[in-house]
Amino acid sequence: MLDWAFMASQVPDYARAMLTTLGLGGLAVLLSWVLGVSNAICWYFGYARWLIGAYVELGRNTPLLIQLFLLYFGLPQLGILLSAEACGVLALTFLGGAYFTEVYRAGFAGIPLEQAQAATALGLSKPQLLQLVLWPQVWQRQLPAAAATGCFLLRETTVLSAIAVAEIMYTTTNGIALYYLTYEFLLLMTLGCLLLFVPLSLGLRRLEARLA
Amino acid sequence: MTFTEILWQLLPGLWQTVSLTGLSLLLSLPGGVAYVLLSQSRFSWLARLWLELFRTIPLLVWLFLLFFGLPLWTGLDIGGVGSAVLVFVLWGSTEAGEVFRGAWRALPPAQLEAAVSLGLTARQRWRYLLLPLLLRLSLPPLMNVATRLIKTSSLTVLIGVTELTKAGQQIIEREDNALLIYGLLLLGYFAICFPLSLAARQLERRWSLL
Amino acid sequence: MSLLQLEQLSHHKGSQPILQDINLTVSRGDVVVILGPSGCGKSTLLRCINGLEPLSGGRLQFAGQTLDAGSDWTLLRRQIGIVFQHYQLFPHLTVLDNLCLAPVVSKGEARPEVAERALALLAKVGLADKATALPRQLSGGQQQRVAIARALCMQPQLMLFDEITAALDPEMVLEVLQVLRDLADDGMTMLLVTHELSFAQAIADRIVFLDAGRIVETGAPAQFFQQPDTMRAQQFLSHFQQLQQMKRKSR
Repeated sequence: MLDWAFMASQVPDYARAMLTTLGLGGLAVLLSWVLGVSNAICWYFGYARWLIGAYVELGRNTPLLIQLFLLYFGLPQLGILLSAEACGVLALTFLGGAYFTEVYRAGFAGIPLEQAQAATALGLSKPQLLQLVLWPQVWQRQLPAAAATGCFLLRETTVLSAIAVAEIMYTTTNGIALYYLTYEFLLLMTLGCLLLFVPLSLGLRRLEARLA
Repeated sequence: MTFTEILWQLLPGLWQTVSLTGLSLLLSLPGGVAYVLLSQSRFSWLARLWLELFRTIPLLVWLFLLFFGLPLWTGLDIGGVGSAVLVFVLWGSTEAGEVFRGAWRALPPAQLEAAVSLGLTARQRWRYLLLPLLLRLSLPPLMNVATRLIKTSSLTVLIGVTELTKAGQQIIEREDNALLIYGLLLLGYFAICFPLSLAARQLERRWSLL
Repeated sequence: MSLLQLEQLSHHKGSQPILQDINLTVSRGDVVVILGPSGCGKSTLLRCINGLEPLSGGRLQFAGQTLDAGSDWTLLRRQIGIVFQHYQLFPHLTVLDNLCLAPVVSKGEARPEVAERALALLAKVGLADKATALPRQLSGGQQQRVAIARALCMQPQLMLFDEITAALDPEMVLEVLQVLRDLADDGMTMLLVTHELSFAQAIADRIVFLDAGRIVETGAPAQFFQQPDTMRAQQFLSHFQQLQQMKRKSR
């Protein structure tokens, strides 16, 4: 019924695909995290709020697919040629940055103003206030939300298949188109996704439980 | 192609997006009620599984699974739109259901007591206090679910649904101006989703129970 | 003419007795203040009269009706009004709608008449101009006065007040207590639980002192505050007196 031998032969491709997902996704998570935190800090101290606000609204109210297509198909018109992977990471970072900005903006807003005022009254400078009082609390409190955003971004890497990045979805659709063994490929795709995303979910759940 | 001609060409795609999303949302409401009932029953583990499946596996994967898999396993071919609606309703039901549960938990018990103390019967309390409050607590989050659904509907272009994105791609094939068209599409989705998010936030503030 | 009679009323929470052997008679027009230390069951007693807490034993007689542990309190609740510490106004309704909801819906009265009565009550508590406001636009004292008007709009024969000034800022306490005094002067039968001992002394016809779920002492306010009979009452009042006489050491 199912061609197990064939499926086994596809495993290396799928393993590579999963690594691609983790690699590109992981990079995007890192970059967007940095972007989000910097934005939130600027916001807290009152810099460029209108720009950050506009960025967050744009990033959160537009689909990743369109952001991706705009970069991949639109940039060449301006003479900028980027690989599919680069476009993927850029789009994911744009999207993720908006979400992380929200997460950490809320985090900073959640620290009572009186604390910052007390610290300043005690003579702390702004960088010291940030490093010693604000950030340790914000990091801790927003860890679940940040981790959830990270998982979300990793799941969104599947959208990159639309521009032929060799992650799980693309490997599947490509395989179906080549071999017509739909059953086998759907099964491989499901297994790959479960293997990749279930541990993430469980890890996230454990983290939330530990911090609650 | 003039600007108005482009907009005119995008219109059927926009309609498909709106009707697809609207139908899925509408069906997700009773679906959400079903989810809540399930989660309160003996089979609450099933509800939990349902939720986890749609939270862990990306929606694009679900779209592909149903689009390619359903015809294989059942012989039923419901097409791209059908698969999309099915996936969106299954997902939307868990989202709506969780919104309903959250709204229920947020009901202020002491005010319900005040209603009891005024001699209102259970049915009267439901009609004049509980239902209005539940509606006010559910609507803003549901609007956020709608926004996410509209964004996700763009993925259905990958299973052949001729929605907004596909309409744009068809124009690009003729006009070869990807930057402009995708830029327009970006603004288009923004023009739909941003007012929704904004309205949701305003309503939430106006209806907060504080 | 007795309006309310409690006979051997008791209330248990699981195996824990909260109220035991409560016997109380309240006549029409009486203003009874229930005092006692924290946790003695004062609030629970009020809530039992209104049926918000079930009776574990004993009976309640009100205006010719007798109720006990198994009875349905819905009809009685329409004749007894209660005001809570945290006002509990319905947040999605205007002040006027808050007042009109119960009479229209549960007593079947016509909305125009109820609205007229509601506006008169709002004028009485000094909030006639707030009829179309939402609860969250009002201060605590204003919300509490609306809560009183809402209970009064049901035209009850008995009013219960459960520490209604405890959550208010000091400036707002006076405006609420003045409403209560006017109500008492108009002849309303009232049962109050309060910590405002000076107010209790001024307004009460009778003091009921509760301790550990039992009525320990009752009496006229003048006599209770000057010379309480029982040890527990004396202890309770001494705390109040010590607070009033607290002074710094002379420097």
